[in-house]
Amino acid sequence: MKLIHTADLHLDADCGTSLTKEQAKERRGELLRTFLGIVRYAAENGVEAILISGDLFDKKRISRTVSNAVHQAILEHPGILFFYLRGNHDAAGFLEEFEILPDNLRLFSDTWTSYPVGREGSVVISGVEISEKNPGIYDSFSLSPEKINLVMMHGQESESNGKGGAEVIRLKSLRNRFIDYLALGHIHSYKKAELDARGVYVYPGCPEPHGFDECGEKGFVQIEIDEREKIVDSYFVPFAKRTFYEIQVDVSGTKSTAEIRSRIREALLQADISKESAVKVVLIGTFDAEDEKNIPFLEEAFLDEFYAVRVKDETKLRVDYSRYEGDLSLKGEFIRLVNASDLPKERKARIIRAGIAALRNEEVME
Amino acid sequence: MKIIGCFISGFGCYLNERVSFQEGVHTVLRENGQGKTTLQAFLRVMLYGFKNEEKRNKAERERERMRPWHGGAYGGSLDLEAGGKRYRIERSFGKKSAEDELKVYDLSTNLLTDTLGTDPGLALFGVDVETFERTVFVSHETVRTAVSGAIHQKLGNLVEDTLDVNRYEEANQTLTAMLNQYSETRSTGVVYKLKNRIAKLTEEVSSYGAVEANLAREEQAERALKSEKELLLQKRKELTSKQNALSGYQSVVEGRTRYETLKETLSEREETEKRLRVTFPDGAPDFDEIDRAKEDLQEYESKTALLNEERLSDRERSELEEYEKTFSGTLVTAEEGERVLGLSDKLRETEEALNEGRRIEKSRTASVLLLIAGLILAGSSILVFTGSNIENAFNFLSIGPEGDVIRMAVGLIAVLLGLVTFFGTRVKEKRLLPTEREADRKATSIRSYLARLEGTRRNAEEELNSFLNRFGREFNPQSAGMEIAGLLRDQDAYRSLKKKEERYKGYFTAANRALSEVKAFLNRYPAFSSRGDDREKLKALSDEANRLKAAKEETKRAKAQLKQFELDTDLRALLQTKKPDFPENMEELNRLQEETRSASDRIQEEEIAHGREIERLRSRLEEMDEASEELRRESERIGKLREQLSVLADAKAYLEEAKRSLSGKYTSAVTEKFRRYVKEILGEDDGLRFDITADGDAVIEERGVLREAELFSSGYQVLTYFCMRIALVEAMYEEEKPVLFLDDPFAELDEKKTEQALKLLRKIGEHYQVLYFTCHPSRT
Repeated sequence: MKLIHTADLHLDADCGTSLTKEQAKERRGELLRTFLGIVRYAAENGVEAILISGDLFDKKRISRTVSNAVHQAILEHPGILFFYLRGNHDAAGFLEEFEILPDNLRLFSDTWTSYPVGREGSVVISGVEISEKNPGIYDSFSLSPEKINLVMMHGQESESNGKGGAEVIRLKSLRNRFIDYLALGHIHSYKKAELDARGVYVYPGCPEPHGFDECGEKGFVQIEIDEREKIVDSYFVPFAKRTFYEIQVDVSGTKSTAEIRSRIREALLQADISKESAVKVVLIGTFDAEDEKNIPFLEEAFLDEFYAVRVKDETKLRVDYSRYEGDLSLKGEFIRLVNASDLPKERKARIIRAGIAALRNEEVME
Repeated sequence: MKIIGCFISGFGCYLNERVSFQEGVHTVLRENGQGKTTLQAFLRVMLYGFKNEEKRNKAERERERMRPWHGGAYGGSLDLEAGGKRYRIERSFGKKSAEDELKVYDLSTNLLTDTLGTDPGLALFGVDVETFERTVFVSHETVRTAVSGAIHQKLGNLVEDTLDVNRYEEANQTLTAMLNQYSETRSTGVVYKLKNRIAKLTEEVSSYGAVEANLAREEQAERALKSEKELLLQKRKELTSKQNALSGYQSVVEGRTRYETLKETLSEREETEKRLRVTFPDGAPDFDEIDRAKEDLQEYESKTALLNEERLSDRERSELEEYEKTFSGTLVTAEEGERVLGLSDKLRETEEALNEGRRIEKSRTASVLLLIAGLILAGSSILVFTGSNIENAFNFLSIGPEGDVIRMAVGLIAVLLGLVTFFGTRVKEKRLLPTEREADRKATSIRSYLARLEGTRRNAEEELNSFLNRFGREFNPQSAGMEIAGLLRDQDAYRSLKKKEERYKGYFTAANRALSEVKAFLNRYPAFSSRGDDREKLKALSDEANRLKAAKEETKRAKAQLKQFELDTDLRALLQTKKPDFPENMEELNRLQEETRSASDRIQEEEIAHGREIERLRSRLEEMDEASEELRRESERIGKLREQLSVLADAKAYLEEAKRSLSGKYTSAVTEKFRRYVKEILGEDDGLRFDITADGDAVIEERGVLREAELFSSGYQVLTYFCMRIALVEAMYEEEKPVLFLDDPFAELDEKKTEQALKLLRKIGEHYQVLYFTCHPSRT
């Protein structure tokens, strides 16, 4: 029996933090297409059920386009069971709009719900939506050791035995409870770890990144169950249309935009990034305030090579004040004056950089 | 400070060379290319190290340019005195700065000292190498770009140029432009616009809660409508169920009625059929028989009508009888007719040919006779005329000699006519016998030809005669053709009449046969015997038979319908179903149904209206979400821009302060020292007195009259500039007086001004060590 475990699609998310308005809009469309792509993948590969462990949607109110598309995708695939467990972001009223609920949609609530599936019900998929209202979920929970148990939850894993509350999953309380596969959602990166001697817990991560805070390979988890042998296997399937990268480039020792650009290019070549990807270049190291550096130009320089490029300047501006002690020029006087002020060090460096850029007729804006 | 001397291990063209320098003005007199510039560079490098170390181009790096020509050690030492102490600066240079070595010795102890640090030049003079170069190095190129115009301005420029202040304006403009461009207070400023945009976005998203509440209300109203609609739907279902029940019962009632009707109809049909069958006690004829009887009657009537047309008139009867006599034995076949007509034509042609032949024959005889007579007449005349006496000859003709001639002429004419006629007949003969072969023609005379024609004519006449006699007609050779034609016409008329008579007989027979058939048919159905003539009887019989047939079919159909109904219908249910047990009748149910439908429609409309409003509010919220996102981005941006603007404003302010500080520090001091130098050195010259006004402008007083600086000669201008440089050096190097490096600055002065310049140089030498490099002894 094949299943897909996904979560945190965050359909209709703004995506505007790292991208332009147009790209953010385009990405919203791509998020939806990726979800539909997963459904298509399931149909084409004999997958019997899709487990959505929360945050299918990004907010309470979602566009009609998205809700209609999701509803239609479920309706059009009656051979696939959709197990939809709502997360903290999910649209509460998503299904209220539709007069006809798909027969193949399985929902959960704030109390434990179980659905037997597979041959003679040998596989049981259980789930509960965590909220502050149901702190006792771990007590009211029991599974049959004879069955293959898949449990769906949405929240942050925690080893603590404390109260936890909303969005916290107490792993300790779930150990040795006959769980074979704990299908979690909430964390946007893939993670698979041992739960106990019997089972594993898995975060599939988001299938499509929403910004530069979600870098790396994204996709879903395919679960394969041998009901006869009672073996549950799972593996990550890369599926995202785009990958977001964050590349740190140490520009210490460079003295101009051209040299920085060259340093960035080397780093990008080493990273072997595809054209469809979005790249955030973080400049680190020290940079002499007197040297020339044009960040907007650097962003534009690689724009044609990737889907999106952001350059973040995290370099420390360095000013060697001793060099200007004997400089009787305007620049020397300027630097000495700034240095003599009681401004913070970083502020001084920025003022000096701006002043020197102006004196050299270079770009004064950072 | 003063430089005592140096030892150059290796530097450019110098190799292991020691140079000592005297106090005051030390003149280095060497021709061009003998190392003056290299020596200056060595002294500077000893103090500050190499310039342009970061240049990519090797040729631009001083370290490379000054590498010893002869190889070996690269470097040397410099002995100097400063602050009352003597030092030796020793440097050795490697391929790059990291390989360089610097040692500074205190010459009073000959021990290494770090008093001068890693940058002895900076430690000694308090200025970096660029400032040092721009102040204490004076070359003839520098002097050439010397002053003109207001001295005060020049002093300012000099200070600014030397201290790199001349970029200030440009930098200030750049920063001002940028501050304006991004201004928060100017209406065109980026931050100003951004602030407005943020205010607008803030306003736009401020009603988010209200819109959300409206949406919630609308959604609640929509849900309430859905519930109401659900109730109405349920009610409609109930009403529909009742309607169906009632409608079902009505169907049962209708079914019962239908069943009864079908049975009654069958009974009626059977009765009708029975009544019609009485007319045909032995069975009704089939319709083929009726049709045949009708056809026979039709045949009889049509043939009877034709009999009148084909009946022979009395004249035709007597003509037929007459023709019977002629043609009773035999008839002329078409071939025979053709043949005898051809034969009669041939007979006529033969006759014509015979006549023509005879005419030719007669003409030939006449021509022969004429020829003979002509020959005789002509011959006798010739004999008389030639034989005795021509005159006798003429007498023979009894006309005298003239008469003989005439006779002879007549005879010749006759001969000629005879010949003409003869040959004319030959031509006609040939034409007459066109088919005769040439050989035959020669052997055949016209006579034999005529004889052959005679034979032909006889044969034709005999045959035609025999033919005509067969039909009782007489043969006449002249009218045989006409006779035959008439005979053939008669035969045609005979045949026509004969056929007409035969047709009549045929029609007569057919009419009698048809009539007897009709009568026989009608006799089988005596019920119609009194129905008028045969046609009317037949029509009545046919109509009745049709009616009977239709009645049979109706009965059959009624039976089938009844049977089908019984098969299709649950007769038991039909007969036993009871009326539904509710009070409403169908009319009442329809009315209630209509009311419910109207209510549903109203709810539907309201639902659509709420749906539209929900859609609109959702769109509005989506727009607000986008606005919120934009607001977040723009707020972040404006924060960064404000921060940057603040940095730029600070940079501008500090630059401005730096400019003020530099200018204030040096310009007034330089002006004061310059005035002193000018007065001391150039105070009196050629009756001219140089001075600087309180405003800092240079003036020349000549015989009590002040003149402006433009009147300075170029020589005076060079000297004035020189004074300025010295004044600048004095103003800037307050702690330690530097060594002045003069690279032939007076090269372009005339003798007198050179003398003045050297005087000035010596004056300066009283306070400074001056290393004066020149290539010509006249300037020492």
